[in-house]
Amino acid sequence: MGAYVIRRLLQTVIVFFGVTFIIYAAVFLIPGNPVAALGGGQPLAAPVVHDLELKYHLDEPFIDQYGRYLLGLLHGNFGTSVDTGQSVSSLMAQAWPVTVTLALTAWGIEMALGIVTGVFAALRRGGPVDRLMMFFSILAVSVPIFVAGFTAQVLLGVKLHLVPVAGTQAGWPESYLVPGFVLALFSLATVSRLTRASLLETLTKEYVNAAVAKGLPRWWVIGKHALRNSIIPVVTYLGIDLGFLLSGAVVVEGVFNLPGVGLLIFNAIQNKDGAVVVGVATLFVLVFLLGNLAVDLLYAILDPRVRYK
Amino acid sequence: MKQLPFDRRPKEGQPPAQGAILEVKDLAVEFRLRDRTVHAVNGVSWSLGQSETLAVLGESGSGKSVMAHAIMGTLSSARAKVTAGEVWFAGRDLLKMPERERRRVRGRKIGIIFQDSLSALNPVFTVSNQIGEMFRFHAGMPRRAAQQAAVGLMERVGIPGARRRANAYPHEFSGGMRQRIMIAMALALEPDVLIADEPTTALDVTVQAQIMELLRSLQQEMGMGLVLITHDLGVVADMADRIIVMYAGRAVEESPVRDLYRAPAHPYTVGLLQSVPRLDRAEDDLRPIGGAPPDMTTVAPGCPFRPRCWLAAEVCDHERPPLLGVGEGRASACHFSHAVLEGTAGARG
Amino acid sequence: MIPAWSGQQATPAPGTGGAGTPSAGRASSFLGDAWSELVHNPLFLVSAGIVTLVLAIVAFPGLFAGLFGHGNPHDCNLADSALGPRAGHPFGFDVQGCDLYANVVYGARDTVSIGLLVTASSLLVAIVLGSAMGYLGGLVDTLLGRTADVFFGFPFVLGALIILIDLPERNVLTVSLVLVIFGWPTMTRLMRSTVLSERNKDYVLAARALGASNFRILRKHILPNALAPVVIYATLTTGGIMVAEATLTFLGVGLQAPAISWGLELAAAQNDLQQYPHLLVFPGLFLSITVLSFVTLGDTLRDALDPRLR
Repeated sequence: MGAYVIRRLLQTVIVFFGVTFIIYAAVFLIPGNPVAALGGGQPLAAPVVHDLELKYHLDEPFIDQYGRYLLGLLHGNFGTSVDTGQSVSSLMAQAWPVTVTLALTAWGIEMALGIVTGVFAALRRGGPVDRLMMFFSILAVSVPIFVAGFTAQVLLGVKLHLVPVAGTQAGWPESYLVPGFVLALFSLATVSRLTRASLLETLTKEYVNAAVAKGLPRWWVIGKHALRNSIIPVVTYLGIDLGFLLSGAVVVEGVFNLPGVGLLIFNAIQNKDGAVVVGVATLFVLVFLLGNLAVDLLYAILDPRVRYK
Repeated sequence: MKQLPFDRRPKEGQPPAQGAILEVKDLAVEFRLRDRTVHAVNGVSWSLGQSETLAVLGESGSGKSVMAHAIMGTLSSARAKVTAGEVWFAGRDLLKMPERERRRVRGRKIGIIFQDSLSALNPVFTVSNQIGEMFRFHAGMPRRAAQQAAVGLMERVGIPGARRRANAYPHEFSGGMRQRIMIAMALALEPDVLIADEPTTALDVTVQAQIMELLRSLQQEMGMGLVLITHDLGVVADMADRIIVMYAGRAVEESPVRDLYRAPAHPYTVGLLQSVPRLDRAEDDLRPIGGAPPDMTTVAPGCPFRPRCWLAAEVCDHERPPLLGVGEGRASACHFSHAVLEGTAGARG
Repeated sequence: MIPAWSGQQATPAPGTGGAGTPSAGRASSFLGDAWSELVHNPLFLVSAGIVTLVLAIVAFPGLFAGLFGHGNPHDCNLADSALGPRAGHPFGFDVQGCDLYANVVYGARDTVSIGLLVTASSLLVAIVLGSAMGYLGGLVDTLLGRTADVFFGFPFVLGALIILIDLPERNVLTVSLVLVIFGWPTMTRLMRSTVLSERNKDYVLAARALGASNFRILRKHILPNALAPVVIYATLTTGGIMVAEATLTFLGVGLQAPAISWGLELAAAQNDLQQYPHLLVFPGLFLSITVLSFVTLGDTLRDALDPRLR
């Protein structure tokens, strides 16, 4: 197990360097003045350009620049807004709680609903509930988040007045329920299908039949032997899921006007504030990296066969 | 050794024969597929006495495993159906029992071990957890006591360093060790009957011998009946008291071990015994049984072995030979069983 | 101990049907079975039909847009802004006062093209790199594997976002390129694992022993077997790519005006959706149905071709 952990840690470090390098290269190496990119393509006054050049040490060799950038990252410096001059990190600090609340709400919804529906569908395979759920899950996977978001907003918020249309004034859970559900939609469908397929496959395994042969009751066999094995693919999905939650948050917070970190990106794109976009997105990517590491370790705990690979 | 009645044709609904702890009567199992039906078991009858070892011998596809699962009630396919027969245990027909009561028999009174120990054990739980499960569920033992009992069992089945390895996972053990773990699991509650479905097929020859020895000593210790399902003639010779030979889902011969090897009474048995190469005689060719295994999707009239039998005659086409007594404690399902017997006994002399 | 009177060996009597004789008269091939199953599957027929329709719209937008007489998506009059459906304009007008139906029809082109382009390119990259990694192993595998790891470190949309915002010009080609950059690792990994498992099989060892060159082994033996899972996966991802493009365009980092795209239409309309729901309904519906049919098509194909389900 120890070797596995070390290997994964090492891999995370390597990927960290690779990812930050790519981000940096994208911003600073793509043809077109990096300053212009940061400024979002808008013409900037000469003194501003000069300032930016000094600030970003654009006269230095590339490697030095990259090194500075990395150091800055590790010190929590994610750049400065070209628009407002505020540091990106301070902007994020204010906005984090909303995003975390939203993400956790979504995650709770997708796990609870996803697993329950998946187990149900597997145990009642071929039945009407199963077919209905399969249909809904394909739908959930096909409708883009912003379409689903707007639809929910117009239907539930405007037409039916069931939930607040936007903003977080109403607090938790009212303000977060519908946005959370929209954010969770895609993953909910995937978790449900995964659980269903996984449970169905596990039920065909010989050790399930052997457990029945031991005289154990159905609920024990399914609850203990089958479920534990079926959960494993779902856990593997959790890492990718984090990625969907993070990217989706940008859209959902934009649609529902929730003042989280995603909205920062959403607005910054509109305002052509490239520094904020890149800075926040970078943090997201780093969170994604650490999250995947955590998931891999969790996976090793759940499936002992993995530890010796 | 038990005395068998002369006519082995099963009588429906009668209580089991004297001294038998498990009796199967005229069991039939079908698999209903989309476009055809596979008749896996076509009317098998036998009985098992206390402390007796009954070997069920047959090729793959002869229906022996399906029969075992039907007895246990663990036919895993939704398409499998027991279409006829009775399975008598402790004075009751298992097939007619409600599932709740049948479950109480499983594991506790009748145990089963499988061929592939790696797939029969759950990969994500430790072996002591899986053995201890028997104690925790059936005997209501608390976790720690069950763990102790599991370790004790592991020692008894000959796993070295049991205490240390109790919390290891199935894939960390060798095939032979895993088979011992399965045996421990099956015998945890000291059942009256153990069904061993090809227990040594997946193992090396030397390990085979160890496992069989283990089974024998445990059986003697616990006074339990053993149904040994296998296709391996060598394994059978040492262990079994009686043998049932299965073909195309039916019992075609039933006999005490010695008599079967000395003088078989059915053409299929003759073919089986011949096909085993012998080291003590100079022979040039291998002698397989000609022809192909039977098509289990049709129940043809007449004898199922007919296409491959050198004795086949007109009557074999139309009439299915019943399992009839041919000697002391022996039965054979062949119209010419006496001829076979004379021929084989005669060849000896 | 063979009985003297029995003759040498048991010979089978004539006229028997042993196990394994196939049902008379039906050639049973894997693809043939799959095809006949598909043709009888209503889901397949419907989704394939819609996909074909969409492809036709992509190829000949003018034909479909002109069906109601006002087929020019650029023919806009601000006075008509956001008007609802009426005669000659079944979808009404968008915020700019352009015929919404025409815009929705033309909007298919870029999105679907990107979907197909990215899928095809990723597939190509995956086949080449995946085969190299799986078959050659060693340094090639490690290097490419680490590179793939780095790209795996980005959530798909976020990674594309970071690159796209820095691009001076965003059109179908550049957007596709960025999506391929972040999409290749998944398919490549899949290809790698299938090639790897085929490589260790006996028939490959046999070919090697007969002196076949690596390239020949790959092309003739391994690829035909290893391709199926990856191709099936590719059909499933096309829908996802289109969703990703639409989302990125909606956010403002995908296609730009004057391109016509469903994402752009929805982005332009977002502040007015509550008042004028038809601006949401028609583009949203078209987008969703298109993706839905691609995804369903991929699903039915996979079910038909998955050997385990046979």
